[in-house]
Amino acid sequence: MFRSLLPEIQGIAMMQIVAMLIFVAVFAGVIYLVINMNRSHIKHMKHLPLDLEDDPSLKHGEGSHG
Amino acid sequence: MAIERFRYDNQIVRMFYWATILWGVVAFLVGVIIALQLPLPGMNLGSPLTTFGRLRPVHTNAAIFAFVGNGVFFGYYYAIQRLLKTRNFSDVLSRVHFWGWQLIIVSAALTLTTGHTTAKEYAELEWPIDIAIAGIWVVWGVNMMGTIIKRREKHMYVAVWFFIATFFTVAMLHIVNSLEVPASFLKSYPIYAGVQDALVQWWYAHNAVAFFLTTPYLGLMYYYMPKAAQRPVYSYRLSIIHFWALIFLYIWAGPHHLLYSAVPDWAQSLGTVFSIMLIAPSWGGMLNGLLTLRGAWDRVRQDPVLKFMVVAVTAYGMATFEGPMLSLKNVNALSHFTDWTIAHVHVGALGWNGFLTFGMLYWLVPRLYNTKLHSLKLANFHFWIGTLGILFYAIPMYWTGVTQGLMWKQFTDEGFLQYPNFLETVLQLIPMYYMRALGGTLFLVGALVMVVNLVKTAKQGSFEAEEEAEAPALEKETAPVVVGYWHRWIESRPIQFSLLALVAVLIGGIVEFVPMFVIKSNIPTISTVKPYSALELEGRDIYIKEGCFNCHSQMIRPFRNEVERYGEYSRAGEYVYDHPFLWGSKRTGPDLHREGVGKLRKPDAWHYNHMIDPRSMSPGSIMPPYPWMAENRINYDKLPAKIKAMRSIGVPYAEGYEDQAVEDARKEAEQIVASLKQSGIESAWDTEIVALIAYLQKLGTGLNP
Repeated sequence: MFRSLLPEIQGIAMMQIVAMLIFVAVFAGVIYLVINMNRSHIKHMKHLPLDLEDDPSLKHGEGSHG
Repeated sequence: MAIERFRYDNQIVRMFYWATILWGVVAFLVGVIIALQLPLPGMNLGSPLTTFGRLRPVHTNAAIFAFVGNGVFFGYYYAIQRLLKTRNFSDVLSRVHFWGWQLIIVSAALTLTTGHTTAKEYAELEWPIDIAIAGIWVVWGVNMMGTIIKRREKHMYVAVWFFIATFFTVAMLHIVNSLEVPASFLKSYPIYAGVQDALVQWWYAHNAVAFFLTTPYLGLMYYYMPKAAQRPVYSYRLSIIHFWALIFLYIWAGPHHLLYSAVPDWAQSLGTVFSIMLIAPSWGGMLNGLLTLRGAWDRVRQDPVLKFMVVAVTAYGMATFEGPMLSLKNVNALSHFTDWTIAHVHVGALGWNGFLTFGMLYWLVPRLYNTKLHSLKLANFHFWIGTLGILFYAIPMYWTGVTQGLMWKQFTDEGFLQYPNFLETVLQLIPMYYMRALGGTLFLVGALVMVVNLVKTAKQGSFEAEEEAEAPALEKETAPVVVGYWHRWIESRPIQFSLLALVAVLIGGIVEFVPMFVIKSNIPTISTVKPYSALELEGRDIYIKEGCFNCHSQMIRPFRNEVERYGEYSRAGEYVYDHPFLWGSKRTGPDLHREGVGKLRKPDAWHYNHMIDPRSMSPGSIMPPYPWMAENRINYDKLPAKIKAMRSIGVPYAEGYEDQAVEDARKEAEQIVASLKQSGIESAWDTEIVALIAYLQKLGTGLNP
C-alpha cells in the first residue's frame, strides 16, 4: 500500500520494515529489562509512595509481587 | 549518612485543589446549561455570549484545562515532594504557575464567550493565550525538573515518569498545533490548511486526551491508590511496561478521529492499528490499579475514597476498550458525528478524571488539615449520586448515538432515504437529551455536596502549610551499570529519561506527518477550487466566531446515505485554502459542505430568515436564533491584515489585493443586499449576516462551480 501511494520517497518500502523493527525492539527490550530487574530494587521502588505507618506489608513482609 | 530536615509546601497543594473544586463546579454547571440548550433552545438566553456554539468550548476547556488541569497540579505538588523527599524547587515558580494558570482560565472564559476562537477543538484559545500557556507550562516544567534534580530519593517512582512524559509531550503538542499567523490581537489563522490542519489538530486533540487527561492521572493513580489502599502497587514490572508501551503507542492513534474522511487511507489505517494495540497497555494499567486493592476489597465497602478510585479505574478500563472499538472503521461508520462519541468521552471525563479527582480530594483534604473527613455519609452520598449521574448521562447518549446513526443510514425498500429530513432524526432524541441533562445535574449536585463536606472538614481541622520532614541526603552512585539494571540506571537519571520518553513520543508523530507534508500528491489539486473572496473570508470568520462547527460538519463521508443526503463526498483538494479546516466532529445539525450547491442550495432570504429565527424556516429546529447578526457590523478595517496573513501562509491572493479587498467585499455584499431586498428584507451591506450568507452559498462550489 505504501509503495503505490507514496512512490516519491526513496526507499519507502524499507520504512515498513524499519517501523516493524523499532516496534519489536522497543517491546522486546522493555520486557527483557523488566524480567531481569533486581527483586530488592523492585521492592524498594514499590514502597516509595508508602510511609511505614500506612503500609502493613512493610511490617509483615508481604507484597512480594513483581 | 546525614539526615536532613526540610519542609513540604502544602500551601501550593491547597491553592490548586480549591481551584480544582471551583472550576469543577463551573465546568459541570456550564455542562448542564448546554445540555439543556439542546432540547430547550430558549436556554441560549438570547445572547451571543451564552449560545451553544460559544458555551460548548467554555465547557470543554473548563472541564479539561481548569478542572482536570488544576487536579493534575494539586495531585502532583503533593506527590512529587514526598516521592522525591524534597520541597519543590522554587516557591516563586509554584506561585507563578498557579496564578498564571488561573489567569489563562479566566482569559479563556472571556475570549471564548466573546467569540474569539481558533475553531480547533480543545485548542480554541487565540495566539496571545497560546503563548501564555506555553510560558506557564515551561514554568511548571522548570519547577519539576529542578525538584527532580534536588531530590533526596535516588530513583524516580513510576508516577514521576508519567509527570515527565506529560510535561514534554503536552509542550510538543501545544506548540506544533498552535503554529498560527496573527491577523490582529485576538485573531489568527493556522499555518496548516485542510487535510494537514485536520491531521495536526487530531494528532493534538487525541494526544491531549492521552497526555493531559490520561498520563498525569495514571501518575496520580500510581501514587494515590497505593496510599489509599495502604499497600504497594500490584506489579512494579507491569507499571514499567505500562508506561513505555502507552507513551510509545498513544501518539500514533490520532487519525482514528478522521476515519472515512479525506485524510489518506494509509494514515487512517495507521490510526486504527495503533488504537487496537493500545488496549494492551491501557488494560495492563487498569488491572495494575485494581489489583493493588488485592486483600483490601473489604475496605472498598466502607471507604468512599476507595469506592471513587475503583469506579475511576473501571471507567478508565471501559473507555480505553471502547476507544479502540470506535476506531474500527465499521463501528466508526455508525458512531462518528453522533452522541456516541459524547457518551464515550464522558465515561472518561466524569468517571476516570472526575471520580479519581474526588477520591484524591477526600483522601488529601483531611490529611492536610490533620483531621478526619467531616461526613462519611455525605461522601458516600456523593459517590452514589455521582455514579447515578454518570449512568443517566452515558446510557441516553449511547441510545441517541445508535438511534441517530441508524436513522441517517436507513433506506426505504424503494431506495430512498427513510428520513431525508435531518431534523426528523434530531427530534427523535429530545427525550434522551432531557435524561442526559438530568444525569449532569445529579453529577453537579454530588460535587456541591462534596464542596460542603470539604469546607466543613477544613473548618474542623487546622491546616499545616509547612509540613516537617526528614530524609538522608542523596549519595552519588558509583557502581557500574550491568545488564538488567538498565532501568534502574535510567530511573535515577532524569535528563536521559526525559530524552528517551521524548524520542518515544516523537517517532509516531514524525512517521505520520513527514509523508503528509513532503508529498504534494497526497492532496490532489482541483483546478476549480479557488481562495475565498474577501466577503466569504469575513463570512467564514463569523461562522468560526459563532462556533457553528460545534454542531455542523463539513465532511461528507463516502457512504451511499451521505452522498444521497448531502451530495458528492468531500475531496481533500477542496480544503487547500481552509485555514483552519472546519470539518467538525459532531452533527447536531446537518453537514454543510455542499450547502451552496445542488438540491441543498437555498435562496439568500432563506438563510437570512433562518439565522434570525431557525424555527420559522425549520419548524421544531433546535438551533439557537442569531438575530444580532442582522445588526452587528463587521469592522472591515481589519480585512487587509487578514488577507496579508492568509497570503503569508500560502493562500494565493495577488500582491496588493489587500488594498482593493474591502471594495470587492462591498460589491459582492451589495449583490446579496439586492437579492434580499427582492424578498422584502432590508439589510446594510456590512452586517455579519450578509458575509455569512456569502460564505454559506460558497460551500461546495469548489467542486461544482
